[in-house]
Amino acid sequence: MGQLQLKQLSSLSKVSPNRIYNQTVVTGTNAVRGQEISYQIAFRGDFFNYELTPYNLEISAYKKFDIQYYTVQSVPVRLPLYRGIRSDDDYLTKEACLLPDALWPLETPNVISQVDYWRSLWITVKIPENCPVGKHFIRIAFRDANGVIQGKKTFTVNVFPQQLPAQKLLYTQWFYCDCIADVHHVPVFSEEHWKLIERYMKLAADGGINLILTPVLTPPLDTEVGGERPTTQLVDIVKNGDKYEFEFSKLRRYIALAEKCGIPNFEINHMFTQWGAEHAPKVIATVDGEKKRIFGWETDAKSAEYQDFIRQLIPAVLKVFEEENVSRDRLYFHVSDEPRAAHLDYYRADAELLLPLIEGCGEIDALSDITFYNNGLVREPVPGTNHIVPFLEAEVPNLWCYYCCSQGNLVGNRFMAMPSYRNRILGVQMYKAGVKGFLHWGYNFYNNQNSVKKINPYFDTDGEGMFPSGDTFSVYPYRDGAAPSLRHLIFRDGLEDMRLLYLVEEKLGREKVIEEIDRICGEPLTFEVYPRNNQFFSELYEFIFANL
Amino acid sequence: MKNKLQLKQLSSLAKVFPDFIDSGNVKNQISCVRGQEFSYQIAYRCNVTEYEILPYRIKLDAPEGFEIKLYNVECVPSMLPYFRGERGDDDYITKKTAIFPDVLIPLEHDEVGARVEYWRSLWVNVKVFEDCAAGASQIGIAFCDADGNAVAKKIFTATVYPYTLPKQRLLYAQWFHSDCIADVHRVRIFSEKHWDLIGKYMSMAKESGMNLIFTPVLTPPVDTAIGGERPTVQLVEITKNGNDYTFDFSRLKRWVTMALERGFYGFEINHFFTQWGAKHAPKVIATVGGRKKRIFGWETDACGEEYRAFLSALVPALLRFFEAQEISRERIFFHISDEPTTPNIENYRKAGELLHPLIEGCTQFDALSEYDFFQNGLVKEAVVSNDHIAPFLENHVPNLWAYYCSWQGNKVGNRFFAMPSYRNRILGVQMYKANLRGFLHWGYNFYYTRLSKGVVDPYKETTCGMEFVSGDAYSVYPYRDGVTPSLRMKVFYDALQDMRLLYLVEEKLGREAVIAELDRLCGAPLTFKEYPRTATFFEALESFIFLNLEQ
Repeated sequence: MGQLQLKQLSSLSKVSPNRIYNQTVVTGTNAVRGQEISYQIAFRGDFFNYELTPYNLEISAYKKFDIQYYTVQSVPVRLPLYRGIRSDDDYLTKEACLLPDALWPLETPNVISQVDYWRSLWITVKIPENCPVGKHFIRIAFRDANGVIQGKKTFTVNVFPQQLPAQKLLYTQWFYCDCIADVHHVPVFSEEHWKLIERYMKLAADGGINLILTPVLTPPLDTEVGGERPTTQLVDIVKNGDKYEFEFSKLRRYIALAEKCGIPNFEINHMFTQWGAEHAPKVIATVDGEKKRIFGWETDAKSAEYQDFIRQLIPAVLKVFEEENVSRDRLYFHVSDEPRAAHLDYYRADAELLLPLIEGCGEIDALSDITFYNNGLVREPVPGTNHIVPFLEAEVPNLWCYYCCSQGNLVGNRFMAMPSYRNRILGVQMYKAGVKGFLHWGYNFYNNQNSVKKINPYFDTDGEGMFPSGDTFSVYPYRDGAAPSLRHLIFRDGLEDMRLLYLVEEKLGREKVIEEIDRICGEPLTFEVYPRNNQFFSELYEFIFANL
Repeated sequence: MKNKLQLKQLSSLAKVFPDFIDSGNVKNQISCVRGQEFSYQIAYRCNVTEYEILPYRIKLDAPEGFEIKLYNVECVPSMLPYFRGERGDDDYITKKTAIFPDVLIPLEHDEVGARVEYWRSLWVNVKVFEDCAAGASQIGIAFCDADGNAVAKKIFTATVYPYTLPKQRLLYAQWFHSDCIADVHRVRIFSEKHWDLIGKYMSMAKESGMNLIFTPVLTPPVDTAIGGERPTVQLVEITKNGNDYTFDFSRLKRWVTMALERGFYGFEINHFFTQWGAKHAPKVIATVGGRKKRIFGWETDACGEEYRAFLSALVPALLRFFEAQEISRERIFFHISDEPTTPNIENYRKAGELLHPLIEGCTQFDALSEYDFFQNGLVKEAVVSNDHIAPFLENHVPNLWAYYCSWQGNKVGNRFFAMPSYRNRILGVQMYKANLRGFLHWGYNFYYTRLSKGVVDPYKETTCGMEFVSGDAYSVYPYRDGVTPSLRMKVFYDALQDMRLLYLVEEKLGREAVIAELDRLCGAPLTFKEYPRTATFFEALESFIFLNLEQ
């Protein structure tokens, strides 16, 4: 009869059909209440007459645990990394291949093993806040068609009495309503679209996202110069001469939906175009009974018309949030993404217009040059993790960070071809750096570069060859909703590391915690210097739980 | 700027993976005849490190007398590249799950993006017009920078001989799944959008050498779970009054007209009995008392009086319809049931006894694998898998057809992603030598999981839910509001053209001499299981063919 091989593995292992990368066998974990942990069971058959063998999973798990089971799906990786100066040697592979990434919810307790190719069952366990302390078990047996158990694994969760502290870090990944509509073939802001938006928001919140991109106007992001993305403007506008009337029912619905999903903070779209700040986002308004584009690439950002529009729009938006009981400290605005020295003139004019209008709100922008920040135009800078050192040395307050396709050398990132420890390390790094927030440009970007074309994220994971696979999205469309990538959950593990470190900090003080991190690391941990193995995280847990 | 672009001009038999090239023989020229179509490729990559992808504009320098289409070859995933054990052998490119070059995406705005250190491939498809001048012509393809300056250029020489490619004799169908078209494009069955798509898929089938079109007079009872059903794509509208049936063939007429306009020769009517046993009827929907309902299906006894009466009414009406369209009976092909086996012989016999008297003058054929079953004389023309064909050939079975599917992965040729393209193209030469009448494949565009239980995205799920080897279930991909080919379909078309060129040479040398030469090139008598495992065989074949034609 069929020989089934099972391996119970850390969530940091990547089980590709042809080999297991960074294999770490696990038997259990320590955890505090409110934590959510993941592990995997890799399985494969080696029986020759059948390619596939079905197994019924017999699961006996502690009843208070909220457990979700997924199968790990491999997806094509045609551009694993950028060669040359933007990458290093710490990748799983530099070959184009299939790598494990999408997590599809298991609908019935059945899996199918394949001969000679590994598959993996991914298990996430939510520990409720009122969970009794002590050891609890999850036992999973693989029963074949004849009812015979061919293998079983037990995972032990040792629950500590402490509660996981609330997440302090602000975390956004840009949430693209247009990509949701496109990939699911539904009209923008139709009822089906709103249902999907809710599911994508919920999955965002599950991954630790607590700040959501809010398209008051269609975000002027990744849009070809002169081109446009589908209109996802949450405000309806009527233009009467120089006066604008705003109708915010869609914005109110969006706010309510985000709060329902557990996302309390709102990141309003950029009010000026990307990579230059010289133009307006697309703005659609009803003029004389007809809908038309009143601003866009043809608009000079400094023009009196657009400035006047912004002066009318922003106070109205703030009033809506006030009425929805969202205080100003929960609002974040952008001027323009990635301004460079050459754009200073425009950026200054834009910021001088916007900043006085948004007193009490956050204003953040991605930028990588501290000299630009020193102009004093960006309230809270968001540098790339490979450009953060000067900001840290200058002790810039309210510092954020980001990574994207360009951060593939030395620093951590979430590319599919990276070991998962390079994804999870961000938590510890951000803890040590004391950053306020983390921004990523692609929660669900299912377009090619500049959004000229839509892509199928299961076929094209690299935006038609432009971005290393894994950069552009962290969730997948799945049936009438979304499914996470394992990268989305590993990053959340990183955020939980941060929260556990804050918990230990309450006991030991920040200095001692950092000293201990550096000791485990073997040298001072930075965004570019950190342990390149899974072992670091088990040692980190040993340290954390030895002090609880 | 220094030229950092690398180009390799390759045969259509190369498979260009991002990290390596399989069968990557350089090919800079071809000999061809009028009416022929050929393909070649230009693999490209960069070796700069400042940028990851460099845009180039393709400038095509096309000579008179040729029509040229450019595609980018894109890779798709396979989680099941082959079947192990007795169903596979060692002649696969890889046995790992991997991504494989397969889908041909039409080039837009003549732009390509060259990746650093990862190969991509430009697929150049060339049609030689019937009135193309004889002699050598050069096709130039330049990769130009943003200013329009050629950074690198490749010249391909096509030497046209003053002959016209003979007509294709082989009958060839891949089952055309209209329901899959509707599902994958999200349109309603037989809506105008659906008809438009059907037309596009038919055109591509015809351009790829298919001359028989699978015609769902009734919803085809193939790949359907027992007790389950596929979407209704029945072309005939039926009204039932007591024991009388009236048939409205207007939809069928539209289908037939579309097929004729595109040049299809024959019509392959759906099976009239269920697959793997012939025990039941296909799904039949009729208007009864003003309401549409299913009048036959899995609950129907195939040889029961009611279904017998129905077929006795339908088939003659159908033949009268074809007659009215001036389509003679030899152009109509009927099935009884797919893959009958000895244990089901009685059902099959009864079904045959019912159908055969109704279809005098038409062809009746079915896929089957047992020579013993065929000897019972119940199947008029046998469609045999290429790994079970030897006894049929030894016994000189007339009007023989061949097929392959997922099980034919050991020794024989096939079209799986993971097979080198020479295992795909070899079929033409093999079928020429075996003198086959036709070739059938079950999947032109099967975008369902096995037994049609769910719809798949063919760019993502290439195995029908891990049931079939990648490459078996379809040879074209949905693309925007239409369809785009796989390189496997282009290579199979090359195989069909090999056959046609061999018939041309046969006119000069006689069949015996041609076969002797094929065996000599092969190094052993060429069969469906013994054949050269190299792309260079086809270079030698081309040399042989054109040495015997006058320039």
